[in-house]
Amino acid sequence: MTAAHRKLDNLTAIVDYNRLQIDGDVREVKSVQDLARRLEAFGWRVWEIDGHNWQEIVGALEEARRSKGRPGAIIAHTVKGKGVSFMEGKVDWHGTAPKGEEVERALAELGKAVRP
Amino acid sequence: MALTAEEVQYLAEKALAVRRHIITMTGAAGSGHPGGSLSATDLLVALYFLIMRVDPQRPQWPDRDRLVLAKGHAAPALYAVLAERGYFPVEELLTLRRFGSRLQGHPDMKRLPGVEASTGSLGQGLSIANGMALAAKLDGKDWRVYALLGDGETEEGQVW
Repeated sequence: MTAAHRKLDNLTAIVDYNRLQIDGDVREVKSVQDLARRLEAFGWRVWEIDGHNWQEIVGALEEARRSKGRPGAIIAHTVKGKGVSFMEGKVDWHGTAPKGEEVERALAELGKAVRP
Repeated sequence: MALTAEEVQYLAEKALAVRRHIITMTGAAGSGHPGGSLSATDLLVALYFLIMRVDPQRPQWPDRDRLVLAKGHAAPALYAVLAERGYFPVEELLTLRRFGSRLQGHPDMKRLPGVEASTGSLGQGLSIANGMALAAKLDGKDWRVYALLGDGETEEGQVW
């Protein structure tokens, strides 16, 4: 409420909308229902994008930068664990670190080994 | 304005490096939050490598843009991006969650240059960002503030 009241157009909120939180599906834990409409009702300008698409990410951030008079919110639809097949969309990987062979498998999927 | 193929390639390579760091760091620490770090990676890479006006050599530059990692448990993603951007040595990433390390399980602005707010208590980050943005307005400055929230975090009353 403060952001819209104060016309903070120099503020951009980005929501990493990966649909999972520690206890499960966000909609089941406590649904915020239609997040975009809810933010708009609070006076924000809202963009909804694919949070893994570079053109959409940069396009929305640049539009938000140019937008005047209202704070901006970017709802970025993402995949929890993105980039590692056995982690993607699995709530178990919210707060669990990979071990031994899991690290190797993940790094193999992500290309060459990390430096150094 | 659409990104060129070279720009997309540049961002994609940075994101891949950051994701590898996230796996290596959390694997070495034996704890941490890989899932929500990997989902936020592309957003943070776009911000720090293309969008935000920052200078890693001057982390306290008054006119810099600010990012508040409201979903503070995604600290591994932030640390990896900051290291790749040149705020501190990449080698330090492997100290994640160790006793005495600047890279705590949640970001500590008093320890690590480039961290704008100590976060992890969900719901507070957007309020902090509001205050920063209001400060810029009051001072007549043109720097911008970004807050990265989790979707679960929007359940917090303080966000509204």
